Amino acid sequence: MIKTMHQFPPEILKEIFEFLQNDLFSLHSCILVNRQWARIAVEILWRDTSQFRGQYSYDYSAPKIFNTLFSCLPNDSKLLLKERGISFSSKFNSPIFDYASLCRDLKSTHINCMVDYLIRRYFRNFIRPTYSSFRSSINAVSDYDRFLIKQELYKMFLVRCHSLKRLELRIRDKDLPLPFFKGADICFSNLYELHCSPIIPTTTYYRMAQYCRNLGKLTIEDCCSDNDGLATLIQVQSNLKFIKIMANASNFNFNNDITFQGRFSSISFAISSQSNSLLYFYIGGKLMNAILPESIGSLINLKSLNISFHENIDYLLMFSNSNFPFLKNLELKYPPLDSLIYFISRNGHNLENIYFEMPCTKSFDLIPLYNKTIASSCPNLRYLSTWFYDTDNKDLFQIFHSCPNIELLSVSGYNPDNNNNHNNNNNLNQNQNQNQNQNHNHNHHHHHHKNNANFNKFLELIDQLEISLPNLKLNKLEFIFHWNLDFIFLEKFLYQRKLFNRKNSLSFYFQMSFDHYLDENDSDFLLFKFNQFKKLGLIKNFGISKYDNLRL
Amino acid sequence: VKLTSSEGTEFIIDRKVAEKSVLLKNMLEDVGESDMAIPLPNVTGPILNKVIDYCTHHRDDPFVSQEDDSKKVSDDIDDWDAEFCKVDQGTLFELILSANYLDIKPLLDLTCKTVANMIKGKTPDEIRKTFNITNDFTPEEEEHVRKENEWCEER
Repeated sequence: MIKTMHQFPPEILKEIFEFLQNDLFSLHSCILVNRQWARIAVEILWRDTSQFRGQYSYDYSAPKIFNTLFSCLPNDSKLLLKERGISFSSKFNSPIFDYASLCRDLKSTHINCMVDYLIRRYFRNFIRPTYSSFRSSINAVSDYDRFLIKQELYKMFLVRCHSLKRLELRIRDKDLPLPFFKGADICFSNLYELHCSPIIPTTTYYRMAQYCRNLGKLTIEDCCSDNDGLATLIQVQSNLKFIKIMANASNFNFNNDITFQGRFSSISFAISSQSNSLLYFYIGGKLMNAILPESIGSLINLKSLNISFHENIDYLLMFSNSNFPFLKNLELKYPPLDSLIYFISRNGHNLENIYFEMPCTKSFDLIPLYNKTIASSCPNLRYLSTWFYDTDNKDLFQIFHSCPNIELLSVSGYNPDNNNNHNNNNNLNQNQNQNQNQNHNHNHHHHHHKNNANFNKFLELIDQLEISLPNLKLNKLEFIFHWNLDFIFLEKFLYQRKLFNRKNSLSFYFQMSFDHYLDENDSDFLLFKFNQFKKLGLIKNFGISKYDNLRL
Repeated sequence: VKLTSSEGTEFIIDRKVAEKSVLLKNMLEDVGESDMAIPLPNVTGPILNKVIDYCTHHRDDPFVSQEDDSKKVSDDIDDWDAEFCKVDQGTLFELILSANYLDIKPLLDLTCKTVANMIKGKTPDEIRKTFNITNDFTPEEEEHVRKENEWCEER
């Protein structure tokens, strides 16, 4: 019988410490317990450079981290930096652990932050006085020092880490061509995730393509130009599953989107070439036409598609009639109802999640058709976003009949009378103003504004559903925008559910945009009531915030 | 399905419960239906009993495949599981080893989380006392390790 932890195999200690990965204080304690614990805990503490941010600011941690990394540097690097006045004194000769070799996740952002801080606070002192009268010269000197520190740190990381998992290359590092560094061939051969940008030179990507072929995830930030090297790197991957591409139009002066159609044609074609393995595709930013819709349409094995553009994406969703037979997850910033209905009718069969970041729409008249299409095309849905005013019961009822697995329903309140408004955002603001004016004489129990969705009717619908569908799985309700909340009715509804011993315990979530038209007292009252409901066991959970992340 | 613990005690459980263990699941798939008891020489009777309790309670949970992106947190233990883990340290450690041996990932996670929660917020000395661990650092080594990792120390 095991009585102490001494007999634990190291892999089990590691499993335990994994649960402390975000708790630097406790990890630090583990490091000082004994030798075995130290060996295992430092692996977790030093594997991700984003930990360098630490729980404190860089002014506390940067010099200490650099001190340790400096002690790990090879002698020639130390000498080079010492010549520039860059060093820390330490009474210890060589480090206990080779911390650089433990790195699995190299994020240049954090290296940059650390080095910038050091240059600013510490190594300015070493600049020779002759330069001091020329500001630009000072900057040139500190830029050189900054470059040297980064170069020597990266050289060390690339030689010592034999299996880096994640790498982030920022635009700021475009002059540090890491794939040409010694050791890059081994270090990058098992790379799983890469964050990069087309600003990095083509040749750097060509070099990378020679030994980095096992990427699973690729994120392209700030995609503002085409890059044949990046396209090549994409093409040589053998099992790329995830691409996220954030297009950026800020470098262009354009009047008409169409001018930019297919602007990133090399990258577009490279993405198409990975259609066999690609399962997750995320595209967003500001220049959607730059990636050809045909490229997205060719990704027939996709399980998840996320399109996050501010512009109207109607034409993007058309995808020249392509089909995504395996699509489970569809996330859009704004729902273009017209093309979305057509899209869902063709690709709804395996859909489990339909989510809109901003469920604003101009075409309220299409909502019934949207609901009917969901009911007829999406039997496997688990998370649904839709709309409610007060006459949508029949369609929603039909949806739950045909989609028995729905667990989460996200409903945005709308008002069909506002249909004339061309800009939905304006229309929402108007609602707010009206509500604020009308709210002067309100009491806490009744908010009746004719522009708001009918909360009571919605609860009645839930009641009917629970009575008529014994296998109903619905247990999370999310309310977005404006609803007429009636706490007396809600309380009655909840007590009645308890009385009849309804199977599913319900959770309620309210989005910011819902409650910011209420004044502060109202929002406090909402919080107070729902806390009370939770304590009484009437609801399982609740959230009153835009940031509640209740989705998987 | 019949299982025998290290002392030879026999346990009869549903196949569905047994299949929570990837080790047993694979064995059953290889062997097929059989009356032969599966010997588990690394697991004692009382521990096997606990493990079966766990697997029975969680028999209908969906199998969660390992996402290597999911951040590991230790504050999501539900009431039944928390109650289940209220055992002495020896039993808890045995449960961890058995869950590891039988390859029952959710049980391994649960028990490791429980130990992680016992570590949380403690100083090195408190940790050593809690788990009865001896410090084998020399004073110089200890200072050296502290210095190298002091960036994450509490100010």
